[in-house]
Amino acid sequence: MPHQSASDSRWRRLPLVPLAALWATLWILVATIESSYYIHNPSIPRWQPLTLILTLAGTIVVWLTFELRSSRYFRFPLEPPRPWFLHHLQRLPILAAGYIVIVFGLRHAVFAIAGGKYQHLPWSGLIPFEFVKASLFYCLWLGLVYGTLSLQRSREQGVQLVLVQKALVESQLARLQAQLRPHFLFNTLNTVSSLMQIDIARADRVLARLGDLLRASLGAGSAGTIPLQEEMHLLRLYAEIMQERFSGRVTVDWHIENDALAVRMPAMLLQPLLENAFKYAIEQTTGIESIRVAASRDRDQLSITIHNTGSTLHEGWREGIGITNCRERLSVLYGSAATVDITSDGDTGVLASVSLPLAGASG
Amino acid sequence: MMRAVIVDDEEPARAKLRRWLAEERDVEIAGEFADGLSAAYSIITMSPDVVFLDVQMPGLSGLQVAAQFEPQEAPLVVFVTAYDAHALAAFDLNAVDYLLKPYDEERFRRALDRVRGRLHTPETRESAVRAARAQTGFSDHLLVPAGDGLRLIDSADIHSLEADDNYVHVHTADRAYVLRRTLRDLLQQLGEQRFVRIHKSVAVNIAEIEALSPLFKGDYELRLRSGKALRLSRRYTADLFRRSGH
Repeated sequence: MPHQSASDSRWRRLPLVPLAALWATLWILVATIESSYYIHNPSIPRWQPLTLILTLAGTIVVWLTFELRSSRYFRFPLEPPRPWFLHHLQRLPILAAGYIVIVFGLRHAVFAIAGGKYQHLPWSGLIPFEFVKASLFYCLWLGLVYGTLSLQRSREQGVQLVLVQKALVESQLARLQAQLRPHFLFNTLNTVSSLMQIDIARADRVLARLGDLLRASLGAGSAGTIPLQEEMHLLRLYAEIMQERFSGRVTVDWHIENDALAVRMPAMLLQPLLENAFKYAIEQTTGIESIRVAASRDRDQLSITIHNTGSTLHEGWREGIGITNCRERLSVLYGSAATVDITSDGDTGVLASVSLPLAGASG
Repeated sequence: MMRAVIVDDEEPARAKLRRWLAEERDVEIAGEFADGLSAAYSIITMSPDVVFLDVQMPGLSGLQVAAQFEPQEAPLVVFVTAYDAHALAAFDLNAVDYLLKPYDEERFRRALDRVRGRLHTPETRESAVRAARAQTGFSDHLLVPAGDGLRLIDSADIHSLEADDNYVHVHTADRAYVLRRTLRDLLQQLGEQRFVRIHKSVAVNIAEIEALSPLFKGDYELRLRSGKALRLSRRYTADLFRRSGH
């Protein structure tokens, strides 16, 4: 999802800024307390405690600036927490050593230049003390970062979850609409409304078919692929409703080879093609036209054709949304191994042919 | 007696209207049609009072049929539709009556009562044509009488439109058709992007203009690609020059 990376990069830095400000303030406070002895001692020149504070605070601020600019804290997964902490604690010796070298190096240098002498604990005591201090503060820093990031992430996930659910529902609805257009639904209901006045049994039959078809459409989203046999069953339901609507103007023949029945294919893939066949069949003529649905398997391909008489593709014909959807579904599932073609069959009709690999869908 | 025509490509849908219309004493069913083209022909020749017109039909849709009517002479139209959000908006805007499938008898009677109330108000005739044209945009096709029936010709194939009293002669490369329409309404239907008036009673397809040569008093002689020469009246020169980019 392209929009995700944009929002990611935004939240990746922002929450750390107040955190870092807080952190720097804390260190300045620590340094100030540490240096308070020098500040309140009138025999010591003011620049000395000021140097102590500034070298410490300056080092921390520079380090924080680099930390904030780097993306190291996001590179490693937050869950589970232990590896995250262990991963970041690996840097501890280098950071602590660096801290001591830079801060005390700077202080000695400034004092030397200014002509004073920087006095502190002997190195043997100072190094372990400063090391422990730096370690404690680094662990605290990691804890704060972890807490902030976890909070951010859980918020983000909440939003993401809602978005995913919404997208899922929308895609299911879109699928349903592609399969059973509202147009088809309402026209069929109108057919039932008309039939029930003259032939209750027929009205009932159409209603039952419509129910089956609706149920199958709602389930198709989760089923993914179904055996050809089931797909043909759904297609027959659809064809029977259409024949009822167009009152015997279209006959439908089925030529399904037995060895193709078990081959799995995407559910309700063929319905848009049959819908088109009906449309082409009744578009130009008022006579009785025929549709022929055939399916067979050769070595490694399942091939299905739907042919209608009545009209050919007129000049400037463009593929409708139904066929485009069908093609997109196939390309998601099989890549270039599956094809859909709509062609004029001489001057007698239109032929839709679908070919897909037997090996099954990748998804 | 109110003469009604039913147009729907589905027989059960026609049967439903037929049954309910037959129960009305003041209604006579003048005809039933299963496709747009034959419906349009019959409506134009039979001039019924009211048409129940299915919007979605393969080939020529109900809206495309209604867009072809001369507004003043159009029958009252009740559009019948299963689902078409855009069309419904246009109907509402123009206060045209429509039935949404599936509809019940009560809703049907209400539509019929409205039709009765409007039989003698010409505005309601025009509004259906307006609603249909608002939906279909400028027609790319024009329905013209040819022999016993009607033919749908491409509006790009029309060279010129020449008015003559209550008729318009539509000239194409190889023949001319006579329509009982006004030039003004025909230009509204076909759109003024493609056609330009060159005279009070003549309009030409802009793409077909080949040459202009000045005559006296500001008039021009306009020659079409087909070789036909027509007079461009000075009243219309500015408009033509503006539109043809001179």
